This record gives sequence, C-alpha cells and structure tokens, in this order.
Amino acid sequence: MRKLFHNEEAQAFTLEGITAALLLLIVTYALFESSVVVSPIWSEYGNIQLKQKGYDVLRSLDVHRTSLNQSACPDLSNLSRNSLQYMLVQLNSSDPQPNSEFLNAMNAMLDPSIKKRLEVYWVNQTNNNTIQSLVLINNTPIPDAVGVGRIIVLYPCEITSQSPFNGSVNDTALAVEVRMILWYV
Amino acid sequence: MVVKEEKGRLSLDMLIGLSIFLFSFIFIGQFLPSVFADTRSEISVFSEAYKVSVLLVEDPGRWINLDSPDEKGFHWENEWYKNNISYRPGLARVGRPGFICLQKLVEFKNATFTNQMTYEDDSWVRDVFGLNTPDRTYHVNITLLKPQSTAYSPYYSKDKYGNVVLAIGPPIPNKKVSRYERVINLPAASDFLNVTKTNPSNENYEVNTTFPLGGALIVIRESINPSAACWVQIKVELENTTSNNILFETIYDLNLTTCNDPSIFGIYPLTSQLNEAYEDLYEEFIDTYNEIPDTNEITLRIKNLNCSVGLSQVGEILGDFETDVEARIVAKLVVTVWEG
Amino acid sequence: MKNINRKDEILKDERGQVLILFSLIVATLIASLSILHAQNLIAGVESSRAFLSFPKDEVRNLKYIVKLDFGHLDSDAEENLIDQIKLLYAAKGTYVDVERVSSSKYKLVYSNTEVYFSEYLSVQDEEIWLPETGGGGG
Repeated sequence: MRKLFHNEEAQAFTLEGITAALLLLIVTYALFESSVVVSPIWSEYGNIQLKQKGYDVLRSLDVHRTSLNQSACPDLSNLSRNSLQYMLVQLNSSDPQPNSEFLNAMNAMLDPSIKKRLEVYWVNQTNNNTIQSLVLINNTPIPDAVGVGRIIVLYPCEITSQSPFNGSVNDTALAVEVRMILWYV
Repeated sequence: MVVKEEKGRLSLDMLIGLSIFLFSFIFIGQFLPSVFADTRSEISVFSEAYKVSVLLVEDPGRWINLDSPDEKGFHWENEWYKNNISYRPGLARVGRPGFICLQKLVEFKNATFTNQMTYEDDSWVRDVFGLNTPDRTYHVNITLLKPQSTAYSPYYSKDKYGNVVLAIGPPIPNKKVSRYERVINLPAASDFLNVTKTNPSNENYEVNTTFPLGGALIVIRESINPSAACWVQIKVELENTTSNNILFETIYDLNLTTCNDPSIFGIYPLTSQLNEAYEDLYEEFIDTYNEIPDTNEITLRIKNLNCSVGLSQVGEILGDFETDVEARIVAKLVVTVWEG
Repeated sequence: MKNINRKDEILKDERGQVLILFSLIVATLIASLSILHAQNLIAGVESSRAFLSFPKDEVRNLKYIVKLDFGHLDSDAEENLIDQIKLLYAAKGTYVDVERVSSSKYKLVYSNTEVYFSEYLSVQDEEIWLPETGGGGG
C-alpha cells in the first residue's frame, strides 16, 4: 500500500485523463460561448409575431366603402370613425393629427407594451411625382422595430381643401400608404 | 499490455485517468442535448402555433369526397359530418383571409365536440392540424378574446347570450408555452351584438352589461324632425341593489335645439370611453360607499334621432353594423401551443 | 539524475495517450454535431423568416384595391392610381404592376430581390362579396 501511493511512476494515465476532461470541457464551453451555434435570436420570433399583428391591425382598421355617394362626398357620416379611411379624410393640414376614436381602436388592438410610430406616404403628382410624407404619431423607434404598411385609396371628393393631400392629384383617386412602425418597450 | 503489467499500481493510475475522462464525457453527454433541446423545442413549438393560426385565420379549409374525388371544395362546413368525407377545417371566408366565416366557426366547434364530446380535449384538433408527430406531442389551446385582453388578463369573447364564442383545448399550463396572437375580423352578426334602436315614442333606454366591453358603437343616421330639438346622452351607471347606492358618469352628451346640422350624423365608437368610465366609477364606488356595485348599466337618452347603439362582448365594432356588409367585429384569436 | 530520468520516462510514456485521442475524437464529434445542429436551427429561422418575407399581406392589399376600389373608378383614374402605387412601392425597392388584360381581368405582378409573384385577377369573381355564411356550395 505504502509503495503504491509513494510511487511516482506512470502518472501518465491520470494526467491524460485530466487533460482529456479539460479538453472536452473547453470545447463545450467554447461552443456555448460562440453565438453561431446557439444562434436563433429570440427577438426574431417576437418580430415575426409583431409584424403579423401589425398587418392584421391595419387590415382590421381598413373598412372599404361598399358604396360611394359622389354627391354627398366627403361622406363622413358613413365612415366609421375608428377606421383608417375616416382618420385620413379628417386630417387637417394645419395640424395633422389622427382622431381620438381611431387611436383608441388601434391602441386596443395592439398590446399596451407595443410602441408605435405612424406615417403616411403619398405621391404628389402636381409636383413631379415626388413622394411626400407626414408623421402622425411621432415616436423614435428602436433598431429592433418592424415596419408594416397598407395602401388606402381616397377618392377626389374626400380630399378637401383642408386636407394635407389637397393638390397632390388632379381630380383623381389618391393612393395613401399608411406605415406603422412597431416595437416592444 | 496493461493487463500484463506485473505491478498493480498502473491499473489504479489507469482507473483514475479513465474515470476522470469518463466522468467528464458522461457529464457533457448529459448536459449538451438538454441545452439544445430547449431552444429547439421553443422554435418548433413557435412555428406550430404560427401554423395553426394561419390555417385557421387565413384559410377557408378544404373537403373532398373520398368516394368521388371530383367532389371537393372549400365549404367543408356543409360536408364534414357526411360519410366518406375527408376535410381540414379553416375559418376564413373564401378569398378573404383574416375575415372569419361564422358558419365555419360554428361547425369547427361542432366538429370538435362531435369528435371528443368536450371542448377541453384537443386530440382531434391536434390530429387535424398535424400536431401529432412521431417524436413529440403538443397540446393546443385556441381561444377568441376581446381586443383589450393581454397575455396576463384574458377576457373571453362572448355572444349576446353570454356564451363563450370560441375556447378549445385544455387549460394553458403554468410552463413555457408559445402564444401566437392574431387580430381577426368577424361579421357584425346579430348574435355578437346587443343593439338598441331608437323609437320616436321612447326616449330612455337601459342596457345591463358587463365590463370591459369588447366594443361599443353608436350610429346616428338622421333626425326625425330636423326643426325640433334632439339629444343623445350616454351614461354609465353602477349600482348596489341592496343599499341602492348609485354612481354614474356621462360619457356622451349632445344637445341641440334644432336638429338640422348634418355634421352630427356619423358612426362613433364609444368603447374606450365606456370602459374608462366604468373603471373610474368602480374605484370611486368602493371609496365612497365601502361596498362593491352589483349592477352595471348603460343608460341612453335619445330624442328625435334615428340611431342604433351596438354593444359587443366579442370585440371592437367597425362600420355601420346594420347596413354595411364591410362592417366587422374585431377580436383576437389566440393559439397557444406547448409540448407535453 | 534519477528524477530527471523519471520525468523523461513519464513524458515519453506512450501508453495513456489513448485517452487524449479519445477526447480529441469526442471533442471534434461534439463540435461538428453542434455546427450541424446550428445549421438546422438557422434553417428553421430562415424558413420562418421566409414565411414573412413573402409579402402575403401586401399582395392581398393590392388585390383588394383592384377588386374593391377599381369599381369606383373610370379607366383613366385606374391607370393613374396604378402609377401612384408603382411609385410608392418603387420607393421601397419593389416593382409592382397591375395590368389590365381584359375588361374585367387584371394581371398583378409583385417583384423584389427576394420574391417574384404574379397572378391573374378577375374582378367579376364575386367570392369576396359573399356574406358571412361563406357563400354557396362547392
């Protein structure tokens, strides 16, 4: 027994066992630390969900007009005040703000934890087809934010003289792109 | 060679070395898959939830007659209970993704019930949406919620008789689940709406309701007599019927001596005003009377106007629910999937 | 002198190296499997990203403009509206075109660096107008 413990020969196996174990641990550790392997970024999934929700909300708020009474136009009394159409028609160029009914409906459909920025884009045909834009809800998005959009058609009679779209088209329908940028706080 | 060694000490050395190696090898072997399995299952569960939500919300479903394969189509809701029919449900209207067909919704519930005799068993739903894979079992829960719901406080969409519109699957467990939420459009069907229409000989209307409301909308169409006075007054009233304590708040007040201004006509949503008024009143009620109210009422005073008030426990109402085919009720369809 | 010899002996000992060899093999195995696995995961991410990089909501939006809004417009206004939509999408790097093939038939094209999509649309297709029952048989 004494001989056994005092013997200094042939510790190679123990040493190599330790080396081997260390090697394995180091390799595993390195793998876990490297972002390549455990990659799928969770936020990517959150973003997919958020983007889909943004499209869903825009679709729900877009209430198409089934009939259009050109003589009684802008026919605000037949536009639901929580729809995108009403929000766009009521915009006033001196202080373009979405109406509160629209904002309430939009906020109810999105979670309170989602922040948003709302912009509209349209083509000014009387000014060399330049694209003009207007920020309706001005929040500064974070880099992780996602953007969704939907094109809404406004009819000539709905573009009143107070409208920011006034003068962009010559008595023809206007395509307005509503862009919503969403992110979690 | 080792075995032939005459001195036994070497085998002890070998033993130590080998056991250190094996120990770490086994440790890593055990540890590694569990870490990967975690991310992997999250990812697969998430895409399963996404898949189910898309099949339900964006697709009308399919059916085919196995005896004569030429008979097939999207309207499985009329066929599923017949013999030799193979079908996969979907809830969307044909050619209109995101818009739910009422009949499909009803038949989806019926099919679940017919197959399992309860809405709490998801085995048929799992089967039909391909959630039974050889190496994994999933569970799925599908519910329709009011838009005000969050992950922590769900409010079930209920029709005007108080029945939950859609809740299928076992209760969601208290562990890691994947929740996929879709904002969907339902038709403004009469079952989903409690409509109060004005009647020229009446002026006062009372509606008992529960809060939070999914949606509330008033459509003011025209005045009955443009030269006479007209008004609309909407109040939320909370009462304790034992002590008769009452508290109310007016959320909409329009009062005109002559009713000839067309700008008052329109479609006004009232959802958030009503819900906020209720929350304020509820707290105030407890503070003032030291008791909780047991009746919630919305009182309407409407004179000389042709209008309709729609209250919904399903979701937000958009558009004239009585005349417009594009009118809709917006709710959340939530698909929750977990492994186990 | 003897000590040095022993150290030399240990270092020269070739017997236990099987273990290091084993661990090397195992380590490479783990590493390569992990990389394979990561590829797998990335493929999962990519395919779900592909779900959404396909612009289903944009395409549906365009289809509904054709089906619903064009009915309220004459052919000049229609052309004009298509031009505006083209410009709005061009600003985002996407080519979009709606071409009138016949009086009630349109060809929709949506194309960007990731996706090319085209579909013939018939505005006489009544399906979208069907009521909540989901419409007739078949």
